Amino acid sequence: MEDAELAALARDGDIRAYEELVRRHQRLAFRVAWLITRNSQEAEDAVQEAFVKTWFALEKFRKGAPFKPWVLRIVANESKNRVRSMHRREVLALRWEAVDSGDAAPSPESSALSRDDAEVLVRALDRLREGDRLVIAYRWLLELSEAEMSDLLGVPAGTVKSRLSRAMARLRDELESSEVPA
Amino acid sequence: MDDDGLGSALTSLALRWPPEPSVTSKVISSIRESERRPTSIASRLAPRRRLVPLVAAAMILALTAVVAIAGSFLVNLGQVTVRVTPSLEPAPSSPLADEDLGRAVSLAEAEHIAGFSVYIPALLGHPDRIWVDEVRSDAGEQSRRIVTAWEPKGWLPQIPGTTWGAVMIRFEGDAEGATKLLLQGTAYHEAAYVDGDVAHWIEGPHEIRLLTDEGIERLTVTGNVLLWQDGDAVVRLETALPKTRSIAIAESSLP
Repeated sequence: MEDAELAALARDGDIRAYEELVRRHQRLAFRVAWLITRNSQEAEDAVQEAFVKTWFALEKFRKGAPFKPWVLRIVANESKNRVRSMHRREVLALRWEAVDSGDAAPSPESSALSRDDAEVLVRALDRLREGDRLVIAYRWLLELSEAEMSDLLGVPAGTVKSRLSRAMARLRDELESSEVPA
Repeated sequence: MDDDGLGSALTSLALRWPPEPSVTSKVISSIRESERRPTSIASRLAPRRRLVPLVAAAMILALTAVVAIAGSFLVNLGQVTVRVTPSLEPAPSSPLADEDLGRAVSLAEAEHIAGFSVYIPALLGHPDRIWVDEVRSDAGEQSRRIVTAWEPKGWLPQIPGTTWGAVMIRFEGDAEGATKLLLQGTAYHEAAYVDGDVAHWIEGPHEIRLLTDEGIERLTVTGNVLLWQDGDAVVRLETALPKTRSIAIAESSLP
């Protein structure tokens, strides 16, 4: 069943339908929360609270609208609220790590990217300011569409495009300063 | 490498994400344990926040959608309290003037001082001015205020008596940063929700008393005010807009 159908059922009070929506989106929701909080426990709490809030806000959910960006926006807001109350933010280190893909066969793209290049790319991403890092992560790490990002960020599609473009330019600057082989 | 090439490289990274917990059963249990009433949700959803007085106030407010002000009704939001007073002498300084708001800084400076991204509603965009003020009370408690202001534009009317279309103040710290005094019979106050959290809507002229290094500054407020708790901070948005539009602005924060 599509998200829209489940959301419509949930809006009418069907908690089983909502349970399926939670199951379907919790992984992505956790990653959004983690990108913002940089803390697994805070991210888990934020996701849990956000999904509960979403249930109680379903009456406001526009019929036919995409559910995923709507719930992710609530997750992001909940996560940001938590970050604002985390005064220890400065000491939280974000360290993404590029890892080998284990047993999974590497994709053509990943096989084209050496481990060293991947590490340089991750470090460059780490050095970006939060806003730039988030839009890049939403688009390229979580693979949200620009339309979904527009709903998630609450800004017009054109703003998403320009913000993403500026963030990518700054990432490229970081890479150049790291002298990564292009 | 162009954007698409760089994007593909990012997508192909095999990142070590933290293990994702399953929250489904906890979410469903929480929902089942709750009644479908916003006030009870708010109290349950934010157990770590200092919301006890806020929720108590919200429960009273929820009973009467619009509270005609009578008597000394009190809302305690941590750094900001709201009181109703039967009489109010004109404030010597009115309304909010730039020099009352602290030290003018750039967005980067403000974020450095705050230690995180300054709250910027997407609907308002980049603020035209930012001020920061850090104050220590007589009792030694610290309070920090970050003020962002936007000039009027087509859909954002000028707040009467000011040069601004919107002024947002974020109060942080342990000291009581401000007291709002609503004159009985001339201003009204009703419950609102920002991102599902309890908020307060105040319409009509009133007074705000700000804690500054030089003591308490009394200022007249001429716009409509939305007041809500955001984590440990309290945020106050003043505009000349109606309630629904103010809430939309408050909910449109940037990452």
